[in-house]
Amino acid sequence: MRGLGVSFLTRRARSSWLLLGGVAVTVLLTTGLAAVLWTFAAAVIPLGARGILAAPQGRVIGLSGEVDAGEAAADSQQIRAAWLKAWPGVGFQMESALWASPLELSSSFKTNTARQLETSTAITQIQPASLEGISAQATLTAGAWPGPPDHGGPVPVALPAAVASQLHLTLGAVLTGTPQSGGAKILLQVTGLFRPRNPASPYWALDVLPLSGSSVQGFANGSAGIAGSSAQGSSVTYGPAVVNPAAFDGALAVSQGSWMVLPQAPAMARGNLEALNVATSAAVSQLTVLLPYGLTVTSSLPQLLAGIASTIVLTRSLFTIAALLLLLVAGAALVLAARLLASVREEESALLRARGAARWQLVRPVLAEAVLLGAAAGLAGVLAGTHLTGAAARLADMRLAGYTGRSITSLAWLPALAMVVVCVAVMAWPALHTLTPDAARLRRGRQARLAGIAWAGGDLALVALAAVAVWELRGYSAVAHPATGSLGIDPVVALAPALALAGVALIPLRGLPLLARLADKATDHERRLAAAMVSWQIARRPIRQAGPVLLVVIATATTTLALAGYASWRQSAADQAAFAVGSDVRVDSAGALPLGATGAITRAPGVTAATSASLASVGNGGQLIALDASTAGKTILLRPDLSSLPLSSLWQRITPQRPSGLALPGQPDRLAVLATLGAGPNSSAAEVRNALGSVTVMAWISDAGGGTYEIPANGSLPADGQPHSLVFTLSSSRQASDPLRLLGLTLTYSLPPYDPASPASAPTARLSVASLAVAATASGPFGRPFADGAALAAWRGTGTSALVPTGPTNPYGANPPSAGAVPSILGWRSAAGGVRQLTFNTGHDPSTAVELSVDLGPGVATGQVAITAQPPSQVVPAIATSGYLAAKKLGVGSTISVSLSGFPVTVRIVASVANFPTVFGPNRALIADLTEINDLLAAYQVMPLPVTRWWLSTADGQVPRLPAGLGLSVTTRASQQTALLGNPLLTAPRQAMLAVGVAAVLLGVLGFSISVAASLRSRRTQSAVFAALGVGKNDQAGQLCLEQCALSLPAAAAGLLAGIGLAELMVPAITLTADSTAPFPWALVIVPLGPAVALALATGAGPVAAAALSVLRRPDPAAQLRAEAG
Amino acid sequence: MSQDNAEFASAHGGGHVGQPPQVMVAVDGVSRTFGSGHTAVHALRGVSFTVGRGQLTALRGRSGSGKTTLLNIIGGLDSPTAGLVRVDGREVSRMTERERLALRRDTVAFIFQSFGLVPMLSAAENVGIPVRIAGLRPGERRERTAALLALTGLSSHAVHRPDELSGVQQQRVAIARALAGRPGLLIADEPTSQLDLETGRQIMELLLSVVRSEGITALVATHDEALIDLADKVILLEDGSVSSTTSGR
Repeated sequence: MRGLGVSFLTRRARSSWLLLGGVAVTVLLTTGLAAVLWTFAAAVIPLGARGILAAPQGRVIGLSGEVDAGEAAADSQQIRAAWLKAWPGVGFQMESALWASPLELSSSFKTNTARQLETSTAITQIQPASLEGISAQATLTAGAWPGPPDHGGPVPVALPAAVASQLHLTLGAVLTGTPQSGGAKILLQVTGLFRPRNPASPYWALDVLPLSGSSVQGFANGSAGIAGSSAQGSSVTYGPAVVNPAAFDGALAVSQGSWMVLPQAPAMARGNLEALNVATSAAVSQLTVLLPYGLTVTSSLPQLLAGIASTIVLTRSLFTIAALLLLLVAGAALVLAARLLASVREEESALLRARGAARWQLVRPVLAEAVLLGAAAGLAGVLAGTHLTGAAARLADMRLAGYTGRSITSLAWLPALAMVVVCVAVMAWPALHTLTPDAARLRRGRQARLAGIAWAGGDLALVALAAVAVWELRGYSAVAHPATGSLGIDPVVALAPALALAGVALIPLRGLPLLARLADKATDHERRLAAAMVSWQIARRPIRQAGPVLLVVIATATTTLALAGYASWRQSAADQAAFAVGSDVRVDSAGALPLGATGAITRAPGVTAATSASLASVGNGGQLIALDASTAGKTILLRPDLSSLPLSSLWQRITPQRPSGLALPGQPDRLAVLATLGAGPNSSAAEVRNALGSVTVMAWISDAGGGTYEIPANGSLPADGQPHSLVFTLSSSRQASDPLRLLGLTLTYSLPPYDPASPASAPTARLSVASLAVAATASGPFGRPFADGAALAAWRGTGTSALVPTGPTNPYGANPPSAGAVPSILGWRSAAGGVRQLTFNTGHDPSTAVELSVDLGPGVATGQVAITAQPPSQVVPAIATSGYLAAKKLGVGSTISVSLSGFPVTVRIVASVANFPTVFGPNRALIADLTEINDLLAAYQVMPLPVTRWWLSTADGQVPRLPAGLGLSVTTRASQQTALLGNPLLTAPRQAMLAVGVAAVLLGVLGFSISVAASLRSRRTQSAVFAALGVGKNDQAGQLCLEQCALSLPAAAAGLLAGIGLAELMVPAITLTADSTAPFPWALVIVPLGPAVALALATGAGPVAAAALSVLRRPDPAAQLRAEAG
Repeated sequence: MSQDNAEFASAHGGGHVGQPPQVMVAVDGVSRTFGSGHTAVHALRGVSFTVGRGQLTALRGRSGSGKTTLLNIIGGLDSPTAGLVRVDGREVSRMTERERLALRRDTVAFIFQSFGLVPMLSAAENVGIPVRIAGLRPGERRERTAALLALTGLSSHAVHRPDELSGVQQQRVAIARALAGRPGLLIADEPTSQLDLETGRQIMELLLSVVRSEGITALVATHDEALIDLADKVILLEDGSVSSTTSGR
């Protein structure tokens, strides 16, 4: 047996070059792709982490606490030392600021902000501070940075320009401030005005007053915020009033310190983020107890680092999924090739064994062959893969950190080593089980019908394991499992797909005996040889055929899973972006815009549909989204599966049938109401004229989107009994959202004084509305009236007063009443000429004694008389989110009362949605029609909900050109989606999966085709015999094609189904957001059936094509028969 | 005109009108050369002979004398370099591949030295192959197969696969398969070479009996003396040429 040496090896290899070539190509392709994946992963992870950390707002840490001048320097040292310890090797920038106590300003500085607090006791304060390095972060808009204060002179300060504007201060102004703690007054002189160069700069974390001069700070009572200030209770603090550090040496005392710490992103990204996160959290805990009164630390860095670490775990897990699936497909291909090789050599090995060759003598050449082949192909694969990574990165449109294409990532050797081991194992295994010549001969005739693994129960064990993995994965989210120990991957996520796929692919092996019996039976009824031969081949060689079938099932399932994973993730990114924005483009404004400006948004070029909306709190963390339901179907990107109803029906349920009010024709610029205010019954003209004087008239106008606006008449209405044309300017720039509707008219006047002489009576007045006309121009005559007063016949009148009645109803006994009288409606009737008349009692002030008792000055109380349209409905239909229904224990059909602008509105739930765009957190929201609500509020003269949001549908999702100067913020779905898809930590593994999917197709086709070629070779004698029996090569090729079709196409179909099933189970668990959290809304499983079926067909048709190619061969049956005989 | 040439002319159309030619196989000046130049191997050199219809003709010769090549040419598996071959009145040497396939399906059947059975099929299934090629109905196929297995004494081995049968049983299956298509000409290439003397004789007797009973013409390459004794005609090939033709029995 000395002959089993190199020459034997070479000769044997030459005779099986096709199968050995198949093994080599499989190892080459697998290790090459694995090298690409590993090199890619090694480069992409720091790149992605650095990308997320690049935004300094996420990294910055703000610290503040009460300190005195002596402690501040020591605290700075300790803070620096804490971060040096927490972040070894990570450089960081640190800035500090010293703050004096806020100084109370005199009441003359009461600004609109203070007034908005609706209390006369609000205190206005200013807080001096010295901010390190501010001159580099802010631009002086006037004056100079403050110098050291002169002894006894005012302290020079520089103010944010926005603060100066609020306080009406200019350069040189001197403020007198009183320290909160008491003591001497301090004079501050404004020497400079500044504005931040970049309000978003992390530097402003130093500012304990929120974002100097540029930000909006919400008040507790919900009123609009003011730049450069903070409000607590009934005080408003402005600042920082930047002073020279020298100011703290004398005039000012340090009461507070603040620090800003900003670590460097690149160094941080290179480090162990999990360890950095732990160290950062530890440092934060340590620093919070540093000072006697504690240190306030503001930062989202720990959460950011935890999120990145979690995302990296997910990224590694996804790469591992790709690698394991690749290994599985490659393993199946190798097993197939090795089995074919062993089958070809079976008789030869049996003969050698019979002639006395020891087992090791048979195993040794196989091992040598496998090691040489595997190592050479693996090495070539790693080299090729490493060099191809650059091309792959270009294809994926990524720049890889640290990738040069010259150095091989050490990790790339791991899959190569794994492949070589697998290659050696699968090739050597048959050599360990050499048959006797008789057994080999018998096996040619009658094969086992159940594979060895199935006999051993290995398939059931794997299926059980896969079932456990799938069970774990159901309802599993990688979010909940960020901790992974030293593995750096989530083992459940990483292993489950490969396990499940292997289990699913093995299940058909159990069906082989049945399939074989059925196929065997079928042959008996077959008349033609070709069909019978196909059935025989399947029935009599089930194990031989199982190999390629298994490979095709695994390859197709892998490809389908990869395609589904990629498509689902892209769809999820689109869904997340749509959910976060709500439409193609979302425009938000800090406050309500004038009626005449909204059209500039809703009719901006490129806008195809617009939905106005208003947000209001409805308590318990819930919110009301009042929107224009009539256009919502065209703009709101609500995913259909989130709604219990078809979307068209959903929106229809809350769209009002007919809005209330009087429609204004055309696109009016102005509205004119011909009205007369005079004396009513039992009152004289003089009495009414004296009582009312001039009355302010407001018109309530609603636009097309449901926004409702109070428009004052250009002049007041004298109570002189004469007709006057009240002109309301609706939209001087003609940028209102037409059509407009008139919802009501309000007359506001100072209540007439209380008349002790006639305590029970007040004058009665009469408002006559004769006609209404509109003009489409800003000036010039109005057209003919479009309606007379009779058009308002269905309207109703109301009288109200905000301040009366007040005080004790009757503190002085039964008479006279002194709490004041509310205006009251006496009648609303038609008069001649289409005139409509409102008769009302004007009401009156409280008595002087009551006014004094409640600190109400004379003439302060006002009365309102209004005529308003009837609301469309007293009950507003609304859609509720599932979170809202669950929190309130409600269901569809329930009715609930919510308070809007202090007015109780009855809402009936008419439909539910699982989630609604832009509603995050506890998912509690009601969605109702804005028109319906505002019409109802207007009917009761309640402040309408302001329109502060517009959801726009635009051509191609582009951002329309919006007017400047309105303080609008724009969010687009496209940019959100691009940000999600541009995250390399999430993109790269999906692309890797896709690459594995393509490789799986190649490996499947390659393996099956080699199997076909090997089959052809093993059937040479049979082919020659058939030729002698009169079966031509075309017929034989056709028979082979039919046979491969019968095997590969059902296998591809089974793989497709298995892939879809696995995708349904696994894709939701691995489709996560950039923060590694479950996406909102949940991920849908998208199987791109077109490409999946095409690739499955390609996998299935490849072997058929290989079989068809057999027609090209030129068989010589005579020679074959001679050789067989010889 | 030599006797063989006269018989060739008969095969070419010299029989009675409407009657099949009396000569089943006519070989005239057939040569076959493999390769070219100085490596050329002349397997056959101007071989001529005829085989009468219903005759059993033995083709003798040493290994390498050209027996298998000659049989392959007659059966349409190979083409002569020169010369003419007629089978059942049709000129095989000028046939297209399609016509040769038709010839092998309808007229000629082979029995190989190595049996040529399909290992995964049972004896009955192997026998049924030509019947399936002919497209007979399943019932007819089963009847024909059963009859042939009975004829060859293999009824009890119908479901056995070739590797479960002895050599002689395998050759019996091969004979049954050869007869299944009702051929006019049976070409057997060393059918007993892999069998011992006794079993070889059994096969030869079987072959002779089925040739007689089915009225088939048989051309058998062999150096088995037993068969030569049974043959109607014996042709001796030496170095690619016919060295003698003798009548048997």
